[in-house]
Amino acid sequence: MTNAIIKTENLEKIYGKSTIKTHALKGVDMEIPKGSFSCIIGPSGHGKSTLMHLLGGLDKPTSGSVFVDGMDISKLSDNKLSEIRTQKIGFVFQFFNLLQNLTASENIQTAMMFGKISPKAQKKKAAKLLELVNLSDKANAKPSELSGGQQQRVSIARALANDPDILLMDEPTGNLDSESEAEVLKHIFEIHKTGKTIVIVTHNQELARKSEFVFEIRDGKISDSPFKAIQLGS
Amino acid sequence: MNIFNLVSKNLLRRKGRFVFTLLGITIGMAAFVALLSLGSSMQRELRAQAGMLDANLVITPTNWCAFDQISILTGEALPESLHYDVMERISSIYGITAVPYLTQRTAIQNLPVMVTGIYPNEMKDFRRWEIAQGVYFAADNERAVVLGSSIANNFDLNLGDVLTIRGEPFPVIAVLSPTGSNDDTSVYLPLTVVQEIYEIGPYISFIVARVSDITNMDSYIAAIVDVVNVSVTSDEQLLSTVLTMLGSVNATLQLIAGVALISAAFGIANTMMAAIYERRREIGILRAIGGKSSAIFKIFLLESGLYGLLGGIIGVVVGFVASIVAAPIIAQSGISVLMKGATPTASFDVSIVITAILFSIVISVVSGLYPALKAAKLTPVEAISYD
Ligand SMILES: Nc1ncnc2c1ncn2[C@@H]1O[C@H](COP(=O)(O)OP(=O)(O)OP(=O)(O)O)[C@@H](O)[C@H]1O
Ligand SMILES: [Mg+2]
Repeated sequence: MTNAIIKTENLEKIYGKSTIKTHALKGVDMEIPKGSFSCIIGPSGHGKSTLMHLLGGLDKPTSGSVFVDGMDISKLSDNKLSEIRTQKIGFVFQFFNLLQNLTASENIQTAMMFGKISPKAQKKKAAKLLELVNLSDKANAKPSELSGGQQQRVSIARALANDPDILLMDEPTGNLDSESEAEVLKHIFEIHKTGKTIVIVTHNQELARKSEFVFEIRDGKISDSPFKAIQLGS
Repeated sequence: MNIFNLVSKNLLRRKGRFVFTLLGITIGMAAFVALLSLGSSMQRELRAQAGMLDANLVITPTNWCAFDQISILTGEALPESLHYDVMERISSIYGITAVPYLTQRTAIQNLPVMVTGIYPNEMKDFRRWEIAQGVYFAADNERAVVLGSSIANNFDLNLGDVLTIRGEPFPVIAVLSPTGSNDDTSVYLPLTVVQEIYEIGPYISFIVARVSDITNMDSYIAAIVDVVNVSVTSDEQLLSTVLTMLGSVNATLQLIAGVALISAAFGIANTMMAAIYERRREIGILRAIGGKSSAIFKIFLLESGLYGLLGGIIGVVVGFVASIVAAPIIAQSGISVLMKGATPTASFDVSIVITAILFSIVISVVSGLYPALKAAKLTPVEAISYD
């Protein structure tokens, strides 16, 4: 694939220094095409989050490389990585995504602050993003006043704050009831249609089935998966 | 959103902890400012009194200590300890004008007041006294009193009133015009009368002298020491001795305030460390959404710096109020002879305000340095993986 926005080469991650080492990733090669919708699935503790952190430059691999837009980010400085995250990547996590003492709008604005957007423009854009996830009426609500699904929608809006090309989500609906999950997924699909590349770590088989690419991680490696056929077929 | 906004919202999220941490630095700063402003007002007062002494030399017994010398500046009664003879001999030295002081205590309306025995005419010339009311002493042994202006005002005394001193009645014959010096706070009688009623004999407390040529101070001092066994101090020396003593007392007090400030600094450091552990996850989120480690550093440092700014401002206000309230109480309690000079004049001093607030900020920034560094060093994943 030539249009890969994310590509890894023999990615390895070993946690821990001396005695207790965890070999979390054992040589992962993958390519994620620009504008695609991909899922990462696999049993608990087998390295999904680890992989996602490396893809987004949140952590550095022990060896191997991650290319984002053709740039090897695995050797970048901490500062440079922060800039890449601001410009190109939006993250959504499973739990406690929002800053609890800030309102929904302020949470989104904080991300824009790191993107060097003026406070005035921040407010405007935050309002737009909240509209996108159907939460205009909750702009001034604190996370504690929002349901789990609403919090995740704010998190998604925040991930879009600096208009990144890539959204990386680690079990964004893992904590939600099916109704809220459907609502959140609906927004994610809509966002995908605007041209963003979406990578979701999920345990939701149905979602995996609907996605264009599925990567199953087992024991730190990409394994042959029952979804491979669909992946190839799409 | 800007960083300042973010930080001020963080600061207030734990109101109890915020208040207690702030109290720490506020109390430390308040103590510091109160002592600083008391100290500087005492210094100012002593300088003013020394200036008003308007003498070039102070002659005291050789065995007096610095505390006694301070009392000359602050206007305390001092023991009679120079033989009158000394006065005669010094007066006879060419180029020296000297006046004796014999200081004693009495009470008016049950409050302690200083009685000074003087040479009426010499003293009036020497101190350039003006008479506000009445007629000044006509004879060197007149059995009457002349009042300093504050005494007349404070006790509401008028010409013709009678003061009882050592059981003997003395009519008020004159009131001096205000001089702004300690002269205002004494009752004056002729020297011989004081010696008689206090049964002192031919003794005086100390002598104040002016020389005709101040460029030749050393030779005058030599001349005096040559004729009598006394200690001669120039008023400048006296002032510097006193200021040195005051300085060391102040330094001690400030050291105590300094200890309070150091413990406040640890309070801030402690609060910030606790904040890091609580907000680990948040730090991770901030990093994930693009915050650089330098931004995390700034956020934490600014937060502790704000404690310093707020604590400094409140502390300065509280400290000044305390010093204004405390000054007269300290003076009355008589714990320290030193404090007496400073009676009610603790005052607002811009340089203290600026110094104190800057100091407070520096302290809190320094104490926030380590926590901020620790927060900045957390890797995003370390912070996010925390449960
Ligand atoms: N910060 C860390 N330090 C040490 N070991 C870690 C760290 N993060 C993850 N691990 C280990 O690496 C392995 C992979 O963890 P990872 O979080 O990637 O799994 P996962 O597939 O996301 O699991 P889950 O579905 O439960 O989220 C696990 O054995 C885990 O214990
Ligand atoms: Mg995980």
